[in-house]
Amino acid sequence: MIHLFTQFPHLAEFVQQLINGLSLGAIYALIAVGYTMVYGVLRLINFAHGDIYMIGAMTGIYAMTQRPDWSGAGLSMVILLALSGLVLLGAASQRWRGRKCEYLVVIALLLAEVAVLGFVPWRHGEPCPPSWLTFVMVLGGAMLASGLLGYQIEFIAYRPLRNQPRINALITAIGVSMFLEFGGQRYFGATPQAFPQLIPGLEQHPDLFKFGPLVIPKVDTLILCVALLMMFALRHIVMKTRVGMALRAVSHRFDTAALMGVDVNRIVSFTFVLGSILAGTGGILVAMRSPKVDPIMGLLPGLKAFVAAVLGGIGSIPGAVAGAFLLGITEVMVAGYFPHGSQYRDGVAFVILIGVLLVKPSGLFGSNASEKV
Amino acid sequence: MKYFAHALAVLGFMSVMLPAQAHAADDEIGIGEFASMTGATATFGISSDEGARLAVEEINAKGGVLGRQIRLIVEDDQSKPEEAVTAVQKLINQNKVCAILGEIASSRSLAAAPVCQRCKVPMLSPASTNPKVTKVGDYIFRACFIDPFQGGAMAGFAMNQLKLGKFAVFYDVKNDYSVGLREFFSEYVKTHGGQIIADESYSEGDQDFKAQLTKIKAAGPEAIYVPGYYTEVGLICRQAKELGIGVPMLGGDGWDSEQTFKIGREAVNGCYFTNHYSPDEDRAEVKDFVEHYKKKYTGKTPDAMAILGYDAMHLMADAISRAGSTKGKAIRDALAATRNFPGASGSITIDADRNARKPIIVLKIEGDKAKFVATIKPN
Amino acid sequence: MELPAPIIACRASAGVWAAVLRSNWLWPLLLLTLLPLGALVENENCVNPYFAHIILLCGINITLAVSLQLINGISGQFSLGHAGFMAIGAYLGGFATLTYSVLPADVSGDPFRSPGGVLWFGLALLVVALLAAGALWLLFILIRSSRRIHPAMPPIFMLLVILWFVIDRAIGYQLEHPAWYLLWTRGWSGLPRLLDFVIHAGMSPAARVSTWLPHSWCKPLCLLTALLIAGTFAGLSGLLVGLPTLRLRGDYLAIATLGFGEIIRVGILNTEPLGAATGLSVSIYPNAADSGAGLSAHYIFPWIFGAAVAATMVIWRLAKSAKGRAIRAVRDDEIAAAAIGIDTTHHKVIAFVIGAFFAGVAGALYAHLDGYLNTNEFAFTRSIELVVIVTIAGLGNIWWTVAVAIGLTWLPEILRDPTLFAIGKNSHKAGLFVQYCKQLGEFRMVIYSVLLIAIMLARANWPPLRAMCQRWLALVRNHPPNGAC
Repeated sequence: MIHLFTQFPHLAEFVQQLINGLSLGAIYALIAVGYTMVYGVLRLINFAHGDIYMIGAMTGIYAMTQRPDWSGAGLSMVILLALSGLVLLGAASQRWRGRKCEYLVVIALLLAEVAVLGFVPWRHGEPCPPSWLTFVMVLGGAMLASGLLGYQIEFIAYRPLRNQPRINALITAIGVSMFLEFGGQRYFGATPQAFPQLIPGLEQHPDLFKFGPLVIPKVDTLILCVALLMMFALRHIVMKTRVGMALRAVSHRFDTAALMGVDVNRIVSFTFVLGSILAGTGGILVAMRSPKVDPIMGLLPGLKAFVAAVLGGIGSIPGAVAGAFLLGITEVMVAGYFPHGSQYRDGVAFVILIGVLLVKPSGLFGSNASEKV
Repeated sequence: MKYFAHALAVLGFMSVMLPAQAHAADDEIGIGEFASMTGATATFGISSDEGARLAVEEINAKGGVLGRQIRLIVEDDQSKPEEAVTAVQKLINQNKVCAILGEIASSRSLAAAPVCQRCKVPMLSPASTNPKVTKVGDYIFRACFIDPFQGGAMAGFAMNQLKLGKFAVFYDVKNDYSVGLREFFSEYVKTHGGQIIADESYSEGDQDFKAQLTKIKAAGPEAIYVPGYYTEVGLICRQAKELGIGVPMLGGDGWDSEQTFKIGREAVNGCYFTNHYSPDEDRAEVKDFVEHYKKKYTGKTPDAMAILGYDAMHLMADAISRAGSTKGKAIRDALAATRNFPGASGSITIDADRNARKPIIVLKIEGDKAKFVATIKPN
Repeated sequence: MELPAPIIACRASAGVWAAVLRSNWLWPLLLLTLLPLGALVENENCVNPYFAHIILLCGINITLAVSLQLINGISGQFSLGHAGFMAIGAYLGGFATLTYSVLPADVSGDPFRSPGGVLWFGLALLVVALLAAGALWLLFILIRSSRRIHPAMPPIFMLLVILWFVIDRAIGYQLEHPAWYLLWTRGWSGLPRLLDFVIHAGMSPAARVSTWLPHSWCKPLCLLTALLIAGTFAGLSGLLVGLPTLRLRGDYLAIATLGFGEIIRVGILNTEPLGAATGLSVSIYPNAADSGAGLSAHYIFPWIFGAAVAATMVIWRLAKSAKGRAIRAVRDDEIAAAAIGIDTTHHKVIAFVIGAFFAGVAGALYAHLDGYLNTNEFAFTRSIELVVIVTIAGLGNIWWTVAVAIGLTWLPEILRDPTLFAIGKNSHKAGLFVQYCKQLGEFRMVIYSVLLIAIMLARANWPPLRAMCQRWLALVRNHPPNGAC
């Protein structure tokens, strides 16, 4: 086969571009799956999803390079953490004078976040040396942080608007996205930061396979595998478990599911947390691939992932992955084969979006829902 | 309640009546500086600002200029050209500065220069290398070399020293500096018998360059010229290494930042770039500057933007003292008459096009550091 | 005996005009009293030029916000692509005065001398654009008529045409003289050449006509023509955006308009004559007068003020008219409105076109204010800022939009430098409060976003919140007497 590729260099170039497209598509797939899940359940375009992806990457950087300086304001931090821990404990049973108090959990989380972000004096230090343990811990930390953030966003910003027209929720989603982006720029600094190495040996030997002129890098394969794994895992959860059944019920008909005894709030929170965990994982993986992280890195990939989800049929998980791969390949082909195609790269996603919305709004795998009068 | 909004709107229109007074420095000389303190190319702005502030400290310690202390007023343009225009307008109209220290990036200098020219406020750019900047008008100066020299110098070095003949160019289409350097590099290579076998572009802010890099790889170059800014250059080198491109990358002074090493890590080893100075240089002025800088900024090694900011500030102060007044025309004439000003990065002479003629240093990246390789003097 | 119809009409209209004046006295009065204030804005000795600049920006933002209110609030089509219309107006208006308002024989190259040139450019561009659009529309009709052969043919034909376009461009993109069969490549390079040809053909007569005009009329006429051209093309693009998105609802429409805005931005980014990525420096219409007050059309304040007032009045009257009621009916329940007999297509599209027109005018004014255009200024962020203004003001409220637009234009400037209004020389020695405000100013966008979320949540929960407040007030005011329940 190597002879084939060396004989026909154009073929080798084409296949390499396909591989590039697949790896770009895998990145979009990680984000698109979360988008499509949330839309399927809530009919809400969560603009903040791309920013949760950014928070995942930022958590990775902070986990690896920042060390707390205990000597200074550690005492106030400890007090705040203790307070929030107490509140958390007290509310863990979600019973306070006989009423459910989920908001106490959220308040406790907010207090803990304020304590950790604002009161702990973080010092910038040397990044941790790369190792598999570090990788697992950083990934776990990013998942935790993004999951918690997703839960809080849903509780604070989207739950009160559940019975309102969808436009209001959309505007609020835009507000949350802006808050994360500009707040991130104030807190983390608007300057791009370098993501340190996580997996040992990845930079020194970045290639997995080499077929003559053809190269398949390790990081891209990892992202692809994780994206496919997520897709199968999610499909299993949605199709084969009880929670998944409840999820499907809620996405079909909110109120009827509630009548059937499904705790709608819990299911919606679960969806958000799951989607956010995926986004956070995506953030870490992409930061491993291109180690430049800045607070607005989530804007454009978020929009493109949404286009991918629409292309594949919004509400369908395999559709989101398929749409993401298609979008990635198209983008790379435009950049690789059109003259000055890289300038039109970002426009391609939007042209596809408009095309899909005009021709077949339900996307490739979606179902046509007709509007009742 | 119904007309409440009307009343508010009326009040809004009435806001015209409010009096205001701009701050004018009376016993100080106000010099404005607009730099990218945040955003994509933040290290440029931070470095040049640190150099300029070091210079201001030194000047004020010696008694200031014309008997008055210098006040440096800094505006952040967030690495955006439109913010550069707003920043310069604010400096001129609100803070009433007598001169402006201009941007490092050519795009932002180009955006702000028409404003300075129109308001007849002299603007001195420490490090903008695109030739279009000083062509805006006779109030715009620069204290560094220009891109025709830089592009040609790198091409000459690559062809003569490294003995390479086939090049690929990968430039940033959104950046005047990058577009200009690509033009001058290609021109030199073609007129001296070399070949440009691939010419690809990317946009500032892109994260994925593999599509274009695959195209470049298929063409089979002996070196790739990447005249971009450090934010993308690190990623480009990494992705090139991932794709198995083993040829060296060449670059311009936009590579000069610690972030290049932090983002690019192993992948930038063995690459060359042209710059304004190297901290390893043997000259006494360089050693002095590096020592003072490290003392003021706790052990940080200055990069080229820092020394250029330092030199530009000293040059500006010297021009004001030669002019004998803070009037724009006088400062402009004094700047235009600068001959052999002893700057730390080299002797500065402003020629008829309001550019400086200074030598270029070629550096090679080896293991996290940029090592001095050669000096190329202007002819 | 019946009076003839025209006399009845005159009598009726007299009554109508009286009614109109009675209900609209406030704003024409404001116009008459505030216009002289423009003289003060022009006089640099009275008002700081930095201030004057902010006031002018207020005017532009009012125009933009009110036009967006028409699209979002009154017509209910949530558009996130308003910055795209503004960009079209800004670039076309700026480019027109930069290149074509200069008299060809004039060596000094002063702009704003040739209104005829600007007008001719607009007409030529319109003709060429209509030609291109017409050709594409014919193609589209052809594809659609293939449905008669088989219902599945149109998508296949569409794909074939796209493939043809791609192959054609791939072969011919670098050729100097493409072969006769490479139609798409010939068209792509031929259209700009045709435009150049048409412009050059008519430029000298147009310039000659301009020299006949009185000298002092040239400058205002140039700006007026540029504004009208900007508005027209922005309106046309509003048509292009409004027509395909008729079928879309709610969030899909929002994303589609966002996409259109980005496509417009990327298109401008790749157009060389419009400055591509570097940005375009256009001629500036003068701002403040050096000597003496001048409320003349030679300064930009009356134009911005006039555009703001015109936009507000037009959209206000439109909203109160029968057409406005029809638009609101389509917003409230499209199917019921169609059942009554209201042409939903017409009313939805007219909202887009009028809103886009005023956005284009505002964009052209913006270009002539600062003189520097960069596509980054017309990105998604600007659309969002306008949406924030419209949302805070409430969907459908025009006057609140004006007020909020003014407020949100002043707010960042005040936050950036709270000593802006300080009187006295020692104002630059900042107190603690001022420093706090300055730091707050850096959080401006964060405050906007929190404000947006808070307002949306408050509106959603207004009834229970209001009930809570009332209960609390009642508790506070009336202490229940002892023993009573």
